Amino acid sequence: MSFLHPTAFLLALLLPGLVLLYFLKLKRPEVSVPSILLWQKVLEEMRVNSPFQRLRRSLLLLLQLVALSALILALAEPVRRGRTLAQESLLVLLDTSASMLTLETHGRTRLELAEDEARRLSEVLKGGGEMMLIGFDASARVLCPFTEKPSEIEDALRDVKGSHAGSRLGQALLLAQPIAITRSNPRIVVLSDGAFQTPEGVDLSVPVECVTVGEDRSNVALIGLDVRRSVKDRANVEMFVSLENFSPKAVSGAMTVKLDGRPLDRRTISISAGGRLSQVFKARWIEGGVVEVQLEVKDALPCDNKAWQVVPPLLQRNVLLVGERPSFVERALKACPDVKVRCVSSPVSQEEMQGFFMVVWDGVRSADQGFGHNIYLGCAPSEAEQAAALGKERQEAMIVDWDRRHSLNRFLDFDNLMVGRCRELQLPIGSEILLQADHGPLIGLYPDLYGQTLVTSFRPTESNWPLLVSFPLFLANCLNYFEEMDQRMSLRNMEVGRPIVVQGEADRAALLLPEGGRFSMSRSGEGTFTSSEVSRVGVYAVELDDEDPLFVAVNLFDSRESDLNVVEQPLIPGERVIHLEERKKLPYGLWKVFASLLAVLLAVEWTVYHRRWFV
Amino acid sequence: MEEPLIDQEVLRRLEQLAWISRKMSRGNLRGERRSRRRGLSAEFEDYRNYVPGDDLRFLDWKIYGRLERLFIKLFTAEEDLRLYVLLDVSRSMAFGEPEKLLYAKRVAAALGYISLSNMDTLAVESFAGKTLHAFGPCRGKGNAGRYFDFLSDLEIGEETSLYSTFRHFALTHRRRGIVVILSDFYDLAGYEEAFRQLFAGDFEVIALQILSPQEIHPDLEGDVKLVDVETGLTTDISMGERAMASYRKSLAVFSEELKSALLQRGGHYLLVSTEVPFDRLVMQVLRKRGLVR
Repeated sequence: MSFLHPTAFLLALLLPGLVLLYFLKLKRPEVSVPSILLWQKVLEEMRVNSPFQRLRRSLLLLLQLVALSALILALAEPVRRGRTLAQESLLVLLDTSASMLTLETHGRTRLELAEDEARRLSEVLKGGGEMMLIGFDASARVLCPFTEKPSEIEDALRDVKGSHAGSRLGQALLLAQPIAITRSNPRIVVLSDGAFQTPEGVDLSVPVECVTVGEDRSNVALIGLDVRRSVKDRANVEMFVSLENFSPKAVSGAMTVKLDGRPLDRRTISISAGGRLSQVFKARWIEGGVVEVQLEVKDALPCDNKAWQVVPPLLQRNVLLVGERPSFVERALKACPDVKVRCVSSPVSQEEMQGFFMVVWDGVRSADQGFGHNIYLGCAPSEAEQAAALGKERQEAMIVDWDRRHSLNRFLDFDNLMVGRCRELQLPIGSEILLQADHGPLIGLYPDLYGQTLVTSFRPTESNWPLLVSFPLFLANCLNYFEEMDQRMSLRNMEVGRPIVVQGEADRAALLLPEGGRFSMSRSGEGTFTSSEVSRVGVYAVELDDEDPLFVAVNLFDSRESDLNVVEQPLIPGERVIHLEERKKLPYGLWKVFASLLAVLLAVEWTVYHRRWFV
Repeated sequence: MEEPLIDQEVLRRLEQLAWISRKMSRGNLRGERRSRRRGLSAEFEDYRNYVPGDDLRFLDWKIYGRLERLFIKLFTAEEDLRLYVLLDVSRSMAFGEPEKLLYAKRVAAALGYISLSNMDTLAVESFAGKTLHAFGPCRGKGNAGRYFDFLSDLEIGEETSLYSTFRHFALTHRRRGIVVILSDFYDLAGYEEAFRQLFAGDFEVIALQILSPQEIHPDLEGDVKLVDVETGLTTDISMGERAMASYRKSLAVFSEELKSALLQRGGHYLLVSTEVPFDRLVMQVLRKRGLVR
């Protein structure tokens, strides 16, 4: 325990004075009696009948002394060590993620409860300490730098807005810990509902105290929406919707699907307690647009009851194959849906290559390259500074590893691939190695002026690859991947909380928010337009000069955020997490305790004096 | 003109009363009450055999003539009764409304008048720290006026000392009799030793503890400093229900102990509140107790 105003102890000098006053009590009125014989017996009897006669004899004095001590302690403002300490540097990490927007039973959100707690913590400033406020959801940001002024903390708290993003405490700790260790007597307090991923590898040298807010609440959430064009008929789209009930009871409701605002279907749903449900919707939809799924149930968190996905229009995929005929490559390309393949045995002029989505160079090298994406099989593009090159020839390459996470390697297994002859592949800086052999890369991918360039260091015919199922799948993956790149699919559907980054030659760009409003996007030095992170779910639109707007669907799809059961997870195993309701019971400024004690003592003294119990 | 202690009507009624003594006292003077002793009154009581040395004047010669045996005639003795009144005039007796001393004077006057009316011997002493004033012994109603004047002239003395007073009384009064003590018995030194002095002299002791209503039900509130009017000693006390209950209990215990101390030795005790008219006390209460008839 420490004291915010230790000078108040000077008032302790009053204690001897009080004792003196007690002995110099006010003069009592004199009353003559025939004899004090009986009165002495009265006094003796009252004392004998009092087990604590010594105490009772001076009970009023004791009460007054304790009351004065309580007053002095209250004025000295004692504080609990480890809760609020004078000269403390307090870093408050405020969770502003989606789950903190949960409406509690008393009509306030978890975020508002956490803000109140932050205000209570700002009492540290009265003791000459300092406080810093950091907000975090998917990213962390300083809401208020270290300050000694409670008003600045209050201003910062007033400006706090909850987001629909997930919660990454690790980001906040990465920001807070380096700042904290520069301070003397630092302490970090996390105000959250516990719906965050336990950070790993974060320095916890500065003590971190977790305070949990909120109570368990029921919620049903859309946890996935995947819209694809049908493999059989790409004019049809298939919509896979996943939802989960995080409540302890079964929930019934309805689900509506809209295509560009037009209702497609509405279904009643019923999900068991803690269960999951998947629904599939199908529609013929060539032109593409925005798919919107809305869940109609009553729960505590609305932002996960809607989901969107942008579906690009159906494109005709024209591929130019340069190489000898017939080939396995031609057959594999023609097996892909909606692909038109033109085969030539020798390079064509650059004008002729216009209009082709992809050019496949099957062992044929040309000075020119296609205006789209290029695949070089066993050959290299023309010699340029930023291009791949093939070196000396090597016999038998041993497959070491491949990038399983890359979209081009999706569903592929290279274990059975045997390469009889290959050449050493030299890739430009920034390339991705898709397949690695013992001597170096076998397949690499890198962006160039027009699109993506993929280079293999071996011709398929010099390996058993065309005989494996992975070969046509790889080419199909290339088609889909390059199409997604062209249609900016990675941009069109993104997770809430991340910044929107758009590449383009435009002079200016603007971001249109789903709830209305328009913001200019700043241009970075690398030629990209970047918005601040997107904090709300919905459909955004990016306007680049006079081009048609580029729609971006932003969704939550975070089970951890949608699960509104309060989790008390410690950062360090075994560390105790304090719930807000429990923490409220912990006295901060202990002066209130002593002030209450003072009031009680005065009441007791008044009663004792007037009822003459022990006097 | 000063109000008389007792009016004539009361005196007239008092003349019909007489003291009843359980212990027949051996008076020097022949009185008007029978004694167990054979005496010289005119009333024959019995015979007994003559033994040498008997007064030949009391031989019954008629019986000797008939029986030729010598018998002595015995007569009933008539003795006077001695009433001693010890009146406490200490400062504590000046307390109360009406004043305890005035009340005690009136009671003493009434009791003394009964004695004088019956030709008993009356002796009165006032005491505080010691015996201050004495009246008597005297007999006969003719002394009543002087007696009343004596009582009226008594003034408040100093501190009570029962022991020295009673010891002095026992030493100076050898003749047995009824001793009526009119006092509040407030003596910090106690009364046990004092009474022992009296009972050793074979006196019949009647103690009237006179208290005022203000003592029985004190009207005190708040924090007060109590001053003993006799000793000047003080004590601080905060009056409340608890203190008042304790006082009432202490007074009851004090009176009860006083009563026990007297009854164990054959004495009499009566707690008298000055609220009770003194004539009612004498003519009803004392009569009911069998002290007067």
